[in-house]
Amino acid sequence: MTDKQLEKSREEVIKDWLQRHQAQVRKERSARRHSMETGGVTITSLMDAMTIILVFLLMNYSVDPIRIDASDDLRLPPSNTEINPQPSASVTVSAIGIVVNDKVVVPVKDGTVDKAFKGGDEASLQIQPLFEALNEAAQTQKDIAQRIGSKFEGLLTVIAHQETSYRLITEVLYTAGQAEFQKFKFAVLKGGQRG
Amino acid sequence: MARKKSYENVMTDLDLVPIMNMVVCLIPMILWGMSLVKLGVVNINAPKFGMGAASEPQDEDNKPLNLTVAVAADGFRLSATGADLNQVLGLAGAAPADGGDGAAPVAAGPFIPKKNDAYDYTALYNMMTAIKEKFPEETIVNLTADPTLPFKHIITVMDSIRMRLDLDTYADVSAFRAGGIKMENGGQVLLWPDVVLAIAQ
Repeated sequence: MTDKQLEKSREEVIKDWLQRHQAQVRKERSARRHSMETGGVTITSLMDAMTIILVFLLMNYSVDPIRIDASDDLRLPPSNTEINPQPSASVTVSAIGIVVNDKVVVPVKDGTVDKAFKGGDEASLQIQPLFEALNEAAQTQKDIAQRIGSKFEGLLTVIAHQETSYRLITEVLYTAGQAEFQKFKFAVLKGGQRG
Repeated sequence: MARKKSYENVMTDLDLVPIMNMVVCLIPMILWGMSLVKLGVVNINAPKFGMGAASEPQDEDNKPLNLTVAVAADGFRLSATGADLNQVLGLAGAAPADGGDGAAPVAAGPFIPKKNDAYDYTALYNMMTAIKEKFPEETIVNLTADPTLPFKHIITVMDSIRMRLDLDTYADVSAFRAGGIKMENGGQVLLWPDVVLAIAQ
């Protein structure tokens, strides 16, 4: 073969190779695209939506006006009330202690408060550490009311364990009354029945 | 150098499937948790313990009934300073008991004993409705109890006497529990909604 003929055939070979290579690349590309269409799902937007919903629910949970950690020491009584709780100062009376603003102010033993916290008087109705804590809470509520231009309502939500003795409840209410809380609501579990 | 294969330069997406799994499990769990525990509140009034204004101005003409329900370990004791409850209810008068609660002598009233070792809320409701018939304007009831009485009984007493039901008397507990609330003018009819907790001495 002459050089020219050789060159020609070389060009043909290269052209053939190029064509084959391009066809192969095209095939691979379409195969990849095809596989991506059937296999992959764009879930980025779904993830966005889910994350926002999750964050919203968690925020909702944490800023609930009443947050109770249900345990054997704090079981709310059932009731058939239909009133919903509203944001207010709250005091939690469990079987082991009285809590104001996430701080245990007075321990409770056998359903009563030791007389040392009542100024040494068994018959007294005022629990001194509780009075101080509630005073602070009342002051905070008054500050908030002043800032937003409304009136201090003196509303206190009492979250009490269902086995709390009546005597302890009255002591808590009396002490709260001394701290200028006049309106009270008891937290209960909905779904109870009358009788 | 050989031509780089084009698909090696394409950045692969993050694998979000495991995170999605976690989120899809967490959200129904939180929703389910929120629906399980429904909190409610019960309104209560504490008496002004000697400081501050009186709860209501004393009306000279109409003496307030001052109905008191005392929850004791053995049952309910009703009393009132404004009327003789035994007379109101047409019951045989009991021997007058001395008012151990305070200075004002309370007229001895009916006693509702426990039934089958449980408080007889049905009988209490029946009696409270009868009293309400005679004193329709009164809404305040004082509640007092033994110092060691668990608080849950107080809540149940309040639940039992808060609303007026379709019938004025019920024969047994199951009928009482199943009774519907009486509606009037589109609203529920109240029986004794204002409860004041009295100090147990």
